[in-house]
Amino acid sequence: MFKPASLVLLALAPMAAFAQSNDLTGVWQGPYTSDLTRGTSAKLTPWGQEQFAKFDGKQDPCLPVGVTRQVNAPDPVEIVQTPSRIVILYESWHIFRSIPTDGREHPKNIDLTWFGNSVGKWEGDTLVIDIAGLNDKTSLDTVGHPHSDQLHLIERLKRTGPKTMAYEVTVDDPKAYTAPWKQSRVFQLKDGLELMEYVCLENEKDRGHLVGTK
Amino acid sequence: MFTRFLLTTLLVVPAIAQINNKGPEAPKGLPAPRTADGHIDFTGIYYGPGYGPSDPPIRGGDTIARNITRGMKPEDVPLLPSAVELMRQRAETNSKDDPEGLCLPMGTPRRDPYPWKIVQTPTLFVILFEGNVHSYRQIFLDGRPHDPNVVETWWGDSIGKWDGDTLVVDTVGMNDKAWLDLLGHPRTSQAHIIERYTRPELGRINIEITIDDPGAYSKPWKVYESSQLAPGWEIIEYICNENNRDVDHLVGK
Repeated sequence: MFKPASLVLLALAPMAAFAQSNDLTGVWQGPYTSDLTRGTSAKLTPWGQEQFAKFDGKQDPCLPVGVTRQVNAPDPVEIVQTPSRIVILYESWHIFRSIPTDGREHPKNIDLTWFGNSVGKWEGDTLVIDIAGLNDKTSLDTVGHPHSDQLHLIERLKRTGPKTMAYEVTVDDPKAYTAPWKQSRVFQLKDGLELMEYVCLENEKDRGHLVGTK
Repeated sequence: MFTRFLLTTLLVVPAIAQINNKGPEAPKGLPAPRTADGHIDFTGIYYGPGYGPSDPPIRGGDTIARNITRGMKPEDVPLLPSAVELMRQRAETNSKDDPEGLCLPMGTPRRDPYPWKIVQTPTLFVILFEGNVHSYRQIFLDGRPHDPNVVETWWGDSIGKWDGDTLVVDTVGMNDKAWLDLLGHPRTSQAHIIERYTRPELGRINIEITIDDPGAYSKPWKVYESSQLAPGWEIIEYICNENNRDVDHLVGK
């Protein structure tokens, strides 16, 4: 009796570890993404081209970088999941996003902020996060792809294996791009890794290097 | 949300008679919620300690953010002579080197007037702070010991365990840069801090904080904090180093 039972357990083990496919809990790490448009259908509008040409990299290194650049960063992120909320803790800039998944909509009059207003919902095993109310003080990536305050982002997070999560972001900004476009990448689960403290303003040495490229 | 901005303005005017928030309150007398495994569930958004609508009026700027020892007798704050001297220097320079004013982290267990949120899972207790540097604390509930190779940080290494309905949070590995309040009560790298969190009813969280820091105090001492639930509120974005007007005022005397 014992042997067949353990055989069954062994056979199920890889699936058991992945049984809760809608559980995103854990410390994850994605590839550093310096150019969010690479391999996508992104096409800048004339206004967008003008902004892109003007980008000189002279940004305050310790102000928030906005949603897409935060996700582009190579440092680990931790997802904390409860039935009514997803919290994403970022090591870089040591900042957080708190996303209700309780069915609420965006508020009617959103103040524009660096991280905007996020609402999440589950579509099957996929967490869909809708972000509106973003200010225009950031760029989408470190090479300077622009966006306006009309930016609307949709992120889709789906656990695809015991150690992997697919991430897709839809960039919808009619002022900067001719049509909405999508970028995808894969995040890896990092068992045993913990986020470290990160204090941008403490002994910050980057500012002196940010002299502009133009 | 306006009340919160108002609050910031009023903080620099200590003559104000009362600065408690006006805002939502939970019905009195309801029990604290519990998790599926029977523990108290602290999840919720709370006013800054002492700033709730039903908290005692804050008078003369005597807040926990300004003075963590407010309302205590001097003999209950066992400052070492070196700590007295450090506080004298900080008073002499009008707290111009206060890291919090320079947008550095408050560090454990310093508090500010802004709302804070707890998100609790069976293995993790996360505190999201609206104010200061809009950052977070992680408290591990999975039974791990302290990291034996802990690196000194502003928030330290925090682990929590249950003592009945009390969550006991033990923090070590803190740096000596943080101040415990605006007056500059010191914290050194010898600090060991134990916080005991209780939620006696739905609408309130209490924290008893033991500060054991032989680098600045001759014996362990205790601080009591209490925060009221702010049902329906959400953390709003707060970016300290965006248009920081405080730093120009931190000029000393």
